Amino acid sequence: MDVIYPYSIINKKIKLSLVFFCVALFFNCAKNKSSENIHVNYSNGKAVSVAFETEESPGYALYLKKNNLSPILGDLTCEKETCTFIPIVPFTAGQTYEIRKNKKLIGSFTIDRFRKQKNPELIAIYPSVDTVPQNLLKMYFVFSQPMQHSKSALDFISVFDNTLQKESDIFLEMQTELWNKEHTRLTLWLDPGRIKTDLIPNREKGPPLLQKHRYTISIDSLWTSEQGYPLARKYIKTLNVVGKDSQRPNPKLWDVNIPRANTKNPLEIRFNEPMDAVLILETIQVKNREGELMEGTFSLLENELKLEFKPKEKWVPGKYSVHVNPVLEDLAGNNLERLFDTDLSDNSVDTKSTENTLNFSIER
Amino acid sequence: MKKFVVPTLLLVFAFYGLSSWTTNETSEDLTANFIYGNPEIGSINALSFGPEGLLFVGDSENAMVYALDTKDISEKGNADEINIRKFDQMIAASLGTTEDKIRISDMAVNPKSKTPYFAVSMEDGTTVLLRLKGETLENVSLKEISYSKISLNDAIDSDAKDRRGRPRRVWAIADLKFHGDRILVSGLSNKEFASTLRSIPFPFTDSQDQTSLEIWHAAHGQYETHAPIKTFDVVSLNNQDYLMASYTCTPLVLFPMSELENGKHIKGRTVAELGAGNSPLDMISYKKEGKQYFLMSNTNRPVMRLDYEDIAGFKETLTEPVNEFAVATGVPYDNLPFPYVQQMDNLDDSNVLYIQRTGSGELVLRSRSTKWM
Repeated sequence: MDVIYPYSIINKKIKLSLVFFCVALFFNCAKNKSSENIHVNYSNGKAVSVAFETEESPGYALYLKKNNLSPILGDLTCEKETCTFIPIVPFTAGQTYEIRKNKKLIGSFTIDRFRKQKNPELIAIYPSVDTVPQNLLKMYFVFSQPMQHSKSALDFISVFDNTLQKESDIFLEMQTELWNKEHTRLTLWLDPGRIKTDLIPNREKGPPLLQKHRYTISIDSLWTSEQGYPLARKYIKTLNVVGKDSQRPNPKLWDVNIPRANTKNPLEIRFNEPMDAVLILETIQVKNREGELMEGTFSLLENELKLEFKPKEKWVPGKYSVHVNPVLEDLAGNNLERLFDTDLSDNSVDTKSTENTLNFSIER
Repeated sequence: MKKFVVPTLLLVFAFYGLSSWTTNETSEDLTANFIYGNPEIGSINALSFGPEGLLFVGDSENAMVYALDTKDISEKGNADEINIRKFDQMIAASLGTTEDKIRISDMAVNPKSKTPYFAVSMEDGTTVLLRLKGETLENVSLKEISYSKISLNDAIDSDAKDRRGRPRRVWAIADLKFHGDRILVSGLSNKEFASTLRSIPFPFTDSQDQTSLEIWHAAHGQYETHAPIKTFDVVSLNNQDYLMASYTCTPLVLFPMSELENGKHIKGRTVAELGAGNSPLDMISYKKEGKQYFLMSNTNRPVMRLDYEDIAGFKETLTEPVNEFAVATGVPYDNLPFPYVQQMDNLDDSNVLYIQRTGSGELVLRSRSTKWM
């Protein structure tokens, strides 16, 4: 018996292991069988629902793989032997999900990654010039595709002061990011509280940009589009900072190149300083003698120093005018009516309103 | 209604608004012009509760304000304590994704049911509205809901020019609050650097006022400032309502509500400046031991507390520049030991609810008694 006793234990252990093995095999088979009967439905490249066959009564919940923080919100409907779950937002590409019943895993599925789309590109940074006034107020970043909505833009933008050889935080961090409706153009402000003379931020930290300093703005290639694709590459923009711009834009200082009659040649307006790239295209109108708006297209050229207006119809001899909406801003946020930072006690500051109409004639 | 600028008419309207409010308008009156369906919300940038479970939503993408009837009107006196760790992961899990693909864009607590609501935007721009019942997140359908809406682009005189072919201006909604019978909306332009406040009567009609606000700042008050308001609250001082606004360039400014008239350009007075490298996030008020306080959360500063009496006692005239002494000191404020608070609202009379990034990088949703604030 002394000999058999250990054998009996080993025998029992083997039996027990076999039972475990079979049970595990059963669950494994059950899981696989279940997995085969899980169908993810795609619509426009998005995984919008999942259907799974079941013989059991409903009571299922979906979870992220190995995650117990919250069941996935959505609608579960069961009819005969098929249950369909529609999540409130489509499933995430590449993510694995679990179907559970009473905390027990019933099956799992993984969402396909679709054919790679084109990576987004950063197609323009305004101002296009590298030489900027010390009181530069804002920058625009224009992308070829709508960019992601979940992370802060400033997570992907870093600024290095080459003169001081250190990182510099020139942009104002904001919860409400300023994107256009299409989410392709971002506006960033250089911290306005630091630009405005004598505000506490200005006194404590000084202006965001320092005169005669050179800055490198790096835009990280980890920045993704709405569809989750990263930028095609890393982008770099250099700023060479010169003196403050303390003059309002003045249309009287602009050169107008008048086209010849009976042509569709463009009207050229050359500014004495670069203008705000977005506002300039929205604040200028060309009118005929009757005050009617001329139809045509505007193009901004030569680093925001020149605007061209191509008329839809040929120029007819006569008098015309260019109207500038006073909200037009230069790079420092000065508009036709006021400076961005106005010292009202300084009598030398010109507070007269600037003429905002330029007249010209087209001769026969 | 565009000739709404006539002050007498405004007074009549104000009186009407006040009287209709004091006659205890019922939920049916407020939602009489609501329709059921899909309001087609593009993005949720700001949330604020009004009476009777009505949730106001600011949508920058469509330049719209919506009133949603949440029907969440079971009255609750005191809220339950809330302490949820990894709250961003919990929200992401409920949406079947990871926390890097979501952003909590705003939070508001329904003052009637004490239920917190969260606006979440997904990587691809999809917007979701969730609420927390107990420890469970629920989806609030934005496709099938009773609502009314108003466009911020319509009924604004300055936009008349835009009908001649220029693109309409886009206003990112920075903050929105229900006060009396109006929704006040502050906006940030993605183009001009300017300050505008909209005042929209509720229930929505086709009228809304727009005021341009200007502040004085700095020593001797010789600088004028046109800057956008980031967050605001309404404060009653000596029986008069004031808009207390916090700017992107950080001064805290008071404007008398009675002067907020359509098309008018008004000047406020700076009562405090709140420091560098910072942008204000949320402002709320609460009462503790009979005294009123304001709390303001910030991007790069801890939560600041201001005492109502300090603001009320700050007796500079409203349209004159503040004097040098006042600017040097301003209304004092305390920095509370709550850094990196991203969202904040009143949970009930004696508790504040906030979302905070802790030192270990974890995002927590927590309630805290105002006793300790």
